[in-house]
Amino acid sequence: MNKRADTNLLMNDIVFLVLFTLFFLVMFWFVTSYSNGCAFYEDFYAKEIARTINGAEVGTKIIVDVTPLAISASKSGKPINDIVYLDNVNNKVVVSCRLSSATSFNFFNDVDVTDFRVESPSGSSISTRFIFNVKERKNEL
Amino acid sequence: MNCRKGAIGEGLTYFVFLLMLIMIAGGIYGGLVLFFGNGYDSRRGESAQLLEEVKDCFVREKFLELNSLDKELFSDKCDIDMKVIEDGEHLVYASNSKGLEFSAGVVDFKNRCFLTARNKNRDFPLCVEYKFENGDYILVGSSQNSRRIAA
Repeated sequence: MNKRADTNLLMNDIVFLVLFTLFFLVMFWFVTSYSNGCAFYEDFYAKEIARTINGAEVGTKIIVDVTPLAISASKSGKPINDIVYLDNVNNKVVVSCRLSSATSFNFFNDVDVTDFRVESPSGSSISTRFIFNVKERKNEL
Repeated sequence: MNCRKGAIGEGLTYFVFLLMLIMIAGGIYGGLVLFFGNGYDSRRGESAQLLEEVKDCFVREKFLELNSLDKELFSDKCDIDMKVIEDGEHLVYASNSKGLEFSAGVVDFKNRCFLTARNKNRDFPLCVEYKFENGDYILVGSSQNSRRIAA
């Protein structure tokens, strides 16, 4: 009888420890994502790039300064070339400055965004630009 | 009969533990939101931009003067992607002076656009409307927020 009670007590402690560790990890991830401005910049640039595409005329070349996003990404170890991605199939702007997650936002303008790339003329994350061309959408048959 | 002393009290400590976790999480979240702000609300800007596109297109194509208004024609003439408009977070509604109506997206936004909670709750749409002199009417709304996805 006593032995069974000891096992129950140990199980309780293990459950507490597991819960606490999970909670601590989630909070740590959450605070870290906020602390270098990553979550904010992802949200901001996803919306701003979508807004730019929505207002763009066909044939336009657009250059967006994404330096703050690139600085956050370099702190997180994310390659600067992968911080912005445009999905023409789903009309989605995907912005990421973390290794594990990204933020997406849809644009409604029925255009194709081509030749998109991230450039850092200085070689570091300072003065990083996202460049893309807006072209007429080819209808898939 | 199993009669453990203090069993009820021990059980209650679980609630205390959970309550502490909730309070700590709430405190951290509240602090972060207070310090960094609540993010960038783009609903009204997006609605205004969509209204401009729709209005220009309707005038250019004389869309509201047609005898039947359908989504395919709207998508073709206005260069607006219907997948996005019908993703459950947008509305384009128009009616002309003859009483003919056109609607794409969430029809219930016609009600939700005017609820008081719309300014604070980002799940509600923020809308913009435009009335032409001849009685034609356009209402456009968006409740789109950015989504967190796996990279």
